[in-house]
Amino acid sequence: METLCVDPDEAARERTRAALSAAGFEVEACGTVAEVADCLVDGRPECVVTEHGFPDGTGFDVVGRVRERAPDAACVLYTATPPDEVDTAAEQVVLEYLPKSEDREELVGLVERLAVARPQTAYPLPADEDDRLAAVGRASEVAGELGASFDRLTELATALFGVEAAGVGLVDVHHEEFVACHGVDLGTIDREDTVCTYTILEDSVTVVEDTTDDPRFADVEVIHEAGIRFYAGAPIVVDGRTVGSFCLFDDTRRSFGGRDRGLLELFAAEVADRVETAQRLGDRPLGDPVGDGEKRATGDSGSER
Amino acid sequence: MTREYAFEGLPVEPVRPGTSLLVAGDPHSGTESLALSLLAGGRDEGTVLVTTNRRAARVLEDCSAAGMDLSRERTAIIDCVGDGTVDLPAVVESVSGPGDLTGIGIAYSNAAREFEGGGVERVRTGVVSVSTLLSFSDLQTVSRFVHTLVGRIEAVGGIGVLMIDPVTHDDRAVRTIAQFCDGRVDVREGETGGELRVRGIADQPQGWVGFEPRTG
Repeated sequence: METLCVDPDEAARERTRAALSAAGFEVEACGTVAEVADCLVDGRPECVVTEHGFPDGTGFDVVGRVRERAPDAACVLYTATPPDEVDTAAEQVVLEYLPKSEDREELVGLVERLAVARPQTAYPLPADEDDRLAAVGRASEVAGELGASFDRLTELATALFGVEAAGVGLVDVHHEEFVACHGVDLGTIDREDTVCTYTILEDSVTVVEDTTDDPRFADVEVIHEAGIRFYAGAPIVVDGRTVGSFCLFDDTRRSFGGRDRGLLELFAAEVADRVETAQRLGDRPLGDPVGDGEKRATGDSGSER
Repeated sequence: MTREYAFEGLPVEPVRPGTSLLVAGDPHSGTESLALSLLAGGRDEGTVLVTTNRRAARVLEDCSAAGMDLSRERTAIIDCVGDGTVDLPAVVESVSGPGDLTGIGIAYSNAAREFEGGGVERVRTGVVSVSTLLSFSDLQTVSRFVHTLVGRIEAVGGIGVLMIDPVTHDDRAVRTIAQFCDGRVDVREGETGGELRVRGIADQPQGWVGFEPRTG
């Protein structure tokens, strides 16, 4: 599901659905706040277009329910309620406001912009985000087969740095997926809840000596429930794009010196090398055990001789 | 190519439409005057200013002193502390307070649409200041607000000027807000007056340069 349309007026809801569908969006629709939960069972929307007034709540309730499951969802209050009649005093819901009109052209343009730019995330996006995501997709294809190898690296890292845990995470469009962990089982975490979201913005190692003392993470329950107080992460750069992070965790505050930073960067570089090697091997045609490139490099020109 | 936004009387080169600048410095040492001066455009431009800690009437006096040409057709104030004062040379939209980010966002959308409907296509948007927003909401919520606002500014080809007092916040919070903006203008008190330094934007003066805050 790409877009969720929530409107108590069936005719208006169907007009919106039809306009967004015609623009190429996959659309789910419902008419009450309560029905939103049913729509979220099978997927998470990229964008939500909601009326404000419902018999069982408001558009802000709709956005609240959606963002519990899809924190990055772009939300549009598309309503016949005039702006000065929308009671916002008790709200901290960030969304777009657009007056409802018979013509859905402006709405479609807005949803198209939100789908491309993703400007409602609560975290900064890297400047090369689209290319970076493409690189993450390619890295994910080989990450599974490298899992055991990455597991060994994370075990080595915990021993070398004397920390509780280590992990290899790939930061996708909405999540960080930990493809290897030692000492902790992190699985998949929403992108706005993971420190690596900030690590991938940097060229060098990111250190958070105490997550409880950092305004970016002090209120993020997932981090504290996982016992992550100290964090250090080095960006994993594959073919020039940062796909994720090799990170260390500990449940106590600690510092991390220059020598340690250099060593952690070596772990990240090792992961990147293994990904790139696996990708090259995966690109090799069947029946070509060494690859054309290596034949040329060794002067083995085969039938040309 | 769409015409760039210029800054008359300031040592800041024109910037392309869609640019947002974080203006960081002590508000009592010329930073607020600089921010308002950056928002003062030509007669074909509109200004939407979110004021978080001073009433619209007071802010408009400072806007005028900073060189802004005020009119109800081209000036809108989103007032987080006022009481809907009338008879001002600007449209004033009141919201319940600096913590009402939903109300600020809706009022901003409304003001921008009014400008567009009135034929004002070039709009300068200011937030004075993000520091107050951070005092009333958590960093994650303010980050989402700033990201959304900057996205709107870019979409309509306007420019954004967001002021912050870096001394009152953790460096990491200021850095996070800066990451949503295209460039950063640091402001300090030099030996002979105010100085600014532009970073993150191409073709700007290098290092610290003096500027004269306009005070009317």
